[in-house]
Amino acid sequence: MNALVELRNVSVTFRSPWFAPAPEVHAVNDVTLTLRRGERLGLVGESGSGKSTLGRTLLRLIQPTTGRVRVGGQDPFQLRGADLLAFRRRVQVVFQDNAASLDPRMTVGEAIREGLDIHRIGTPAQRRARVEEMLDRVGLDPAYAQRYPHTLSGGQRQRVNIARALALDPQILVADEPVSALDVSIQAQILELLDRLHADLHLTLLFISHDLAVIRELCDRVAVMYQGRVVETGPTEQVFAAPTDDYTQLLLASVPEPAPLAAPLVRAATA
Amino acid sequence: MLARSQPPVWFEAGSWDHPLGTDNLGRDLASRSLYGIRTSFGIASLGLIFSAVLGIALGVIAGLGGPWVDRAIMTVVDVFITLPNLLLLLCGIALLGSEIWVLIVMIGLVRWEAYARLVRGQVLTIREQGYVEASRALGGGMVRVALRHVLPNLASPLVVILTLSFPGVLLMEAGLSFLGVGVQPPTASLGRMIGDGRDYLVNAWWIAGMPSIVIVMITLLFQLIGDSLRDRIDVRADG
Ligand SMILES: Nc1ncnc2c1ncn2[C@@H]1O[C@H](COP(=O)(O)OP(=O)(O)OP(=O)(O)O)[C@@H](O)[C@H]1O
Ligand SMILES: [Mg+2]
Repeated sequence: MNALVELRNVSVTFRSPWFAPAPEVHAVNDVTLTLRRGERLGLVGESGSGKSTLGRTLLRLIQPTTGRVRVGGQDPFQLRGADLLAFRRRVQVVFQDNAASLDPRMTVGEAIREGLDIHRIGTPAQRRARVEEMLDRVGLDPAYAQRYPHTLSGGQRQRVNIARALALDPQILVADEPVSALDVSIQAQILELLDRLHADLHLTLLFISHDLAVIRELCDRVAVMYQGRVVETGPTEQVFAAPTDDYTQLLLASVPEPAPLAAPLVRAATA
Repeated sequence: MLARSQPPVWFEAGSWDHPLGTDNLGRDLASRSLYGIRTSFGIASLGLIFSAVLGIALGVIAGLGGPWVDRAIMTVVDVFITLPNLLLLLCGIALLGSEIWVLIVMIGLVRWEAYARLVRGQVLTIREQGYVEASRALGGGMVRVALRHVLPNLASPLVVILTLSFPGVLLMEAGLSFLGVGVQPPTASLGRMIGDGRDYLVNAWWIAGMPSIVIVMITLLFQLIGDSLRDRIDVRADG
């Protein structure tokens, strides 16, 4: 198995503005991680551990302070013009907030078509056909193309977000807590959809979540983040059965409770 | 034979020939008011459009252009806010003369900073929305974000603000014309008419009074339209 995505010693530091005396935030700290072609990697960690920041770095939305990123052998931060657009087609994203991710002034059809418009793919008729095809793929009636996001349920909106991301036929999908804002029953449906799309479209999935159960259900491998570092990686079953890292052990032991409770304990243990 | 300073029709000395009365030169106040509305509306609307275009463009650029561009534009805005409007207007007119286009440009220049500020604030909020980040991840550039996402989401609050600020611009023109530095005779404008009637307030109050009533009514009308637009938009935001 060859590595499709390689993150090597990646750090992201948010500098505070010059007038605020607040300290710097090391959101991501020296992370080395690879994603193999076609795998589903779960990224788990408590709130503020840097999961989204790492995802945004892979999406080339945040520049790493140090370290290097390789996607298919290329450094996305070196790409310009047509090469950058090709990279955008290759790596797509679904965010947690299904409502904020859709422009309230755009119909569902316009939203799904946005990528096709940006990349000038196909004729208007072909784009319309592609929108219908994508709606069908995510299990929505083609008539939804005319509707506005606020008339949809949260689960339906997340399906639209998935359709928009997949309309460009990406190779890699970053799903940043895609089900965290949804009811448990809807969560299961969306997870099932992602699972099916992964199989049908040969996607490589970076699945970000703070929910261990969800990761266990969907992912082949898991990476555990704590305070900006990846403290443990391994095949899902192996990590769940025999975690080697102290923090992972605490995280697994505290499963019924919210994960952040573990943080002060670990700090006390390592101090 | 001209009837000078004839009162409106509902007074004993009034007649239906001049329903709103005549001024000191015997000119019909009703028809002069209509001309005045045309002049004042023209100047106010063009001034408003000029300031809106300037303010919206600079507000969007400040909001999307990054910290340095933002700071530069907002410094200029702050300077303009501290300058007294009337002083700015009078200086501009003193330098450039009191032609109509000067009035339009100067009115635009004293109003734009409010719009720039408002638009920048809205852009900073919209910029943080997930759909903007999603658009960037799809490959959309800043121009696309501005045209397809920011401006459409700004449109409804802007329509309300522009409607509500129209009377203010109208009054600005009226004020300048009243002071005698705005529209020059013989062109009729509402402010000019009030200014002309100022000397006859005791004997023929209607010469200044009729155009004043017209201004009050126009102001009220725009206020009502603006308020109902705002209500409508709020309802939509809830749905
Ligand atoms: N744009 C930013 N500017 C400054 N600090 C930021 C920014 N984005 C994130 N941070 C900080 O970086 C740290 C990591 O944030 P991040 O959003 O990556 O965490 P997360 O693991 O995704 O958390 P959550 O589960 O709450 O989404 C946090 O301390 C956060 O406050
Ligand atoms: Mg996050």
